[in-house]
Amino acid sequence: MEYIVETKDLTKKFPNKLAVDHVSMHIARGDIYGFIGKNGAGKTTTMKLLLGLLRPTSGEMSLFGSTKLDEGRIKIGSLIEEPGLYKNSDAIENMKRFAILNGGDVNEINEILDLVGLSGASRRKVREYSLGMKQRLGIAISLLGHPDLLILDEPINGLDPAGIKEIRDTILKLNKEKGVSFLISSHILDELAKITTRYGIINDGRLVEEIEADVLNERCQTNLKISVDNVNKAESILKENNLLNRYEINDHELVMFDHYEEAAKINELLVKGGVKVNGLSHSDMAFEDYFIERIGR
Amino acid sequence: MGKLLRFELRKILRSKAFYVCVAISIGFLILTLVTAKVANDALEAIGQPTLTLSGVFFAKSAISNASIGMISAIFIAIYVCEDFTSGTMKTIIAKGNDRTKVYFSKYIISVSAVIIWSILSVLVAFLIGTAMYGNNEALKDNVAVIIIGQLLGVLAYHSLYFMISYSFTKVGASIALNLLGPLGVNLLLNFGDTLIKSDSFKLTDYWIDGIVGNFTASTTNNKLIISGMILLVVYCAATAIGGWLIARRKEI
Repeated sequence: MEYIVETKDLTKKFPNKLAVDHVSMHIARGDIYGFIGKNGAGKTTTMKLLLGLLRPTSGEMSLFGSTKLDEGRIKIGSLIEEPGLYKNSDAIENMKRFAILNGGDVNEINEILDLVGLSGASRRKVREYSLGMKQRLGIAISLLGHPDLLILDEPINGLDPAGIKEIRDTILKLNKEKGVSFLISSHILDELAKITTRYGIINDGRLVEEIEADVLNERCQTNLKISVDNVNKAESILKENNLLNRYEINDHELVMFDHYEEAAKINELLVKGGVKVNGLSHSDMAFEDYFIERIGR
Repeated sequence: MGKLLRFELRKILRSKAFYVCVAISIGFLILTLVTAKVANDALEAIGQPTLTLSGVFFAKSAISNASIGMISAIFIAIYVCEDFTSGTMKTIIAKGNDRTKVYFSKYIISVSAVIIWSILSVLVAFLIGTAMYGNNEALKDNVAVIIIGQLLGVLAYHSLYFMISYSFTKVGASIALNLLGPLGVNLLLNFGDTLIKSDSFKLTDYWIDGIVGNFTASTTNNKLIISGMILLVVYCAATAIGGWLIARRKEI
């Protein structure tokens, strides 16, 4: 597979901290790569290394299949930490300045501002903007020059639910219609789960796992919650029928990690056995549980 | 590099800080002209000898009267540090722009701005001075050398301020160091001179302030003027290269 971002044993050591520890990361063209990790795990440092803002202590990187990194970076738009903006200028002026460096004409500027929902506020000074508006302008600047890859560090920080949805829709639209790939870090796992095609989980500077979203969803959804009136009786019925191997009991709830596809049969057995079944559902909390399990907390 | 120069040029042309600094500077200059007239009138009233004022007289001292050294210390700090404090430097570097080119495009545009500002001050002083007092041919000697020497002094200070600001990247710290650093060096050299106690050799003659001061002193010989100019060019080059060495290793 051809990767547009590939690192091998990428390491960054600060005087008092090993921030990135032999990270080997792979992002394919078309990916929306969700980069997950707790605060200080090394997400931003890894992104900064990819963008040339920090120098690696050791390791290799390639962008778009080439080790000529500055040439690759021309094809990347980014938003790292807080958006870099000229606060005493308006959005149009900010866009025009960066269009000199990144490319883009007035029409493109207006189109992008419209896309991020800032066309109505484009003549207001940036210092008067809310955090969410600044974030959207940062994304708008990163879109100048038709980048092939966008690296976004916590892009939905400070956005209200409507703003989060707008950014999510924008990301999906750019990915599907223009083939733009994304590397996105976020703490809001549920939001990330709605768009990500591939995950990278980082902890204490080490890339713990890279996993396709489909695979992760499959793993997480093998989790059937059965709410019953008598959990002990249900447990013994299912054991007798060899349907209970990996499971947990929480109050009146039986959580099964296998045989989830046999929900109908399980329901029938329990009812026939005199157990009142109040509910059967697949849990969607397992993604967070999986993440916590992988980072070992 | 062309794109970076256009980017920096657009920034400086739309920078309020630049216009405010130039306006303050010209304001100081005009105040000096008016003060000189008031002082001369007062001397004349009490029958004391007066200064021979003219357009050329004010043009020669325009750069120091406009306080360009001090005000540019503030302007350079704001101009250089803005990209670091606002985070825009991350966006510039992340787009694959070479750090050396970013540094020198910023340097070239800011040094051009300071030179234009200095020349504007000289012109304003000359024109207003001439309008107020006319011109005195006797004062025209060495005027080009004095102005070029002062411009070199401005360039040397610009490079020093630029290096300091690029190293510290914080507006407040850079302004403080730009203003106090050269002053501190001057004080130390003065202290050194008091210890050396020599009439023929003074440490302060080799620091930017001393060199520029020598250009305007009537007693300065050609040898000292030439060595001063060479030294100012060395200061310019050394601080520009020093700043570049810091910039190319800088992590953001």
